[in-house]
Amino acid sequence: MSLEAILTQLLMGLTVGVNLVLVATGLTLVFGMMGVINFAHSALFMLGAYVGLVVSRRLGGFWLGLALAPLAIGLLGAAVERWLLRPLRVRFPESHLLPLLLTFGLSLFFEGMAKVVWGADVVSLARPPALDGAVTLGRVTLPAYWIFALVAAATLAVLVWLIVERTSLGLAIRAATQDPTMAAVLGVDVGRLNTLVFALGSALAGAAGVILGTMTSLSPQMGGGVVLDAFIAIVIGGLGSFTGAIVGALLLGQVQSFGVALLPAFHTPLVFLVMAIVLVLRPSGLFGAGERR
Amino acid sequence: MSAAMLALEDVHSYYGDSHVIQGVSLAVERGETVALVGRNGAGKTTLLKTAMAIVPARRGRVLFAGDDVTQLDTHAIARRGMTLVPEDRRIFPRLTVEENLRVATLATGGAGSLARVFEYFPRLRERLGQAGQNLSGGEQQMLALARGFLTRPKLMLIDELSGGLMPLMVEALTGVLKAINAEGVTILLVEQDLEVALALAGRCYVLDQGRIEFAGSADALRADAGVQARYLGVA
Repeated sequence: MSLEAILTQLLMGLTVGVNLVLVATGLTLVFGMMGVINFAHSALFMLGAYVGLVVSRRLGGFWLGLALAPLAIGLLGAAVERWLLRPLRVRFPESHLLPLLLTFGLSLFFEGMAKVVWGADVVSLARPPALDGAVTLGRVTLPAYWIFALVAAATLAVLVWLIVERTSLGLAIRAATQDPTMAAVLGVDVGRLNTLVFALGSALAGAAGVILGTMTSLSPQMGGGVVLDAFIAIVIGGLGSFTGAIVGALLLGQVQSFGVALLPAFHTPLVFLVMAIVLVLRPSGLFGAGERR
Repeated sequence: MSAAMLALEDVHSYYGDSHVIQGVSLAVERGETVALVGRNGAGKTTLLKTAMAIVPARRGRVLFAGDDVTQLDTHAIARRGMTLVPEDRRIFPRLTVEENLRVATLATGGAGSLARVFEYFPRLRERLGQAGQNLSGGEQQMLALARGFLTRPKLMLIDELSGGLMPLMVEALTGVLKAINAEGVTILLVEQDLEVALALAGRCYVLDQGRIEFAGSADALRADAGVQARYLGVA
């Protein structure tokens, strides 16, 4: 590969990686705090893309869609946690299966509703004209929407990192993740925090839906592949670890990018091979089991 | 007469299906240090958890400073000024000492007490940047007490001050608890080591199989060889 090709693949991988960070963050924060693997995450991602589509067509263009979709999906996530997940977890505190079934059912429901409302056909989210050109960085030329997807997702990812690692809210989240009962004994309202974290994770998935929607096409099933990748990323990084999710997602982005370029026929098994190797060497993931930083 | 700091009225609570606390009534007056002693499995830890609604009371009432808090959530009780220093200390393992302390101030506004905490536990100041999981047992107990103190409690429930610690450390922590109590913080202490309990407390309750079997002054318990033999396994 030429240097240009390598740089291009690196940037592509980074773009995929930072968007996976957005999707993976919600999954891992919710798992860390509530012990729930949120199967509805892919549907929230998909709904984010469609809300972006509707807003940009009917209301006022792509940028408004990009702003409103995370808000709408965040509110939806808050409602799901507060009125469905929480009552279920209060009533059956020992069950891991029921929350999983609930979120799985919700994903089927949301996908079905999307089919009813928007049809099963593939549609595309029109890119704003500003993103149609190409950008030349040194010796590499890339479509402008790639650079947009990279910068937008990276900005959000840094923002979330700052929230989790540098604010009081983030401190409360990390404490409640490690020991919810003790956090409550010290006065932290863990129930409210759960709702907030679920909303935050949903909003990020919604944002990623719009951002990646500019690169691919929209369909009710569009979330499945991305969320599977995000799930692999957090398994590599260590389930429930925030740092692990970031590292895992960025790593997976590169594996995919170079896999597609170098071994096009094998890039899917390659992803699983990387996961298998990491799990053999470190069964709890790169940052799992008490090693967070 | 003002209401007791903590009053339990015929409290029953369960762990799963097992009926652990079987109708306990007790009172801790403002400013007191009261010890709750009894054998392993008597229900002492469960009783403290019931007071803070970590384990719900299925019957009876928990009154805190005169208010019925039986139906409140744990965090709401904490914000009213009750805290628990649990048996296994429950330090957040992957937060630093400083972050562990800050968590206690988030909802309770106790940051102003930090200087006092470092007077009581100067060693914590030297460990601020260390992860909670890298502390020694004694340091963890200091941090657990410090965290509790930073919630600006009216009442501290302390589960096993001395567990697993060297006698010198226990002596130092006993001194700190006396000072905290002298500041006006009421203390209910669960303690395996009868000598430690009697050194700190003015009054004692003896719990056996989920029921109070003795209530009286520390001196009365010290003098009562029969109660000690029957419920505490002291020969």
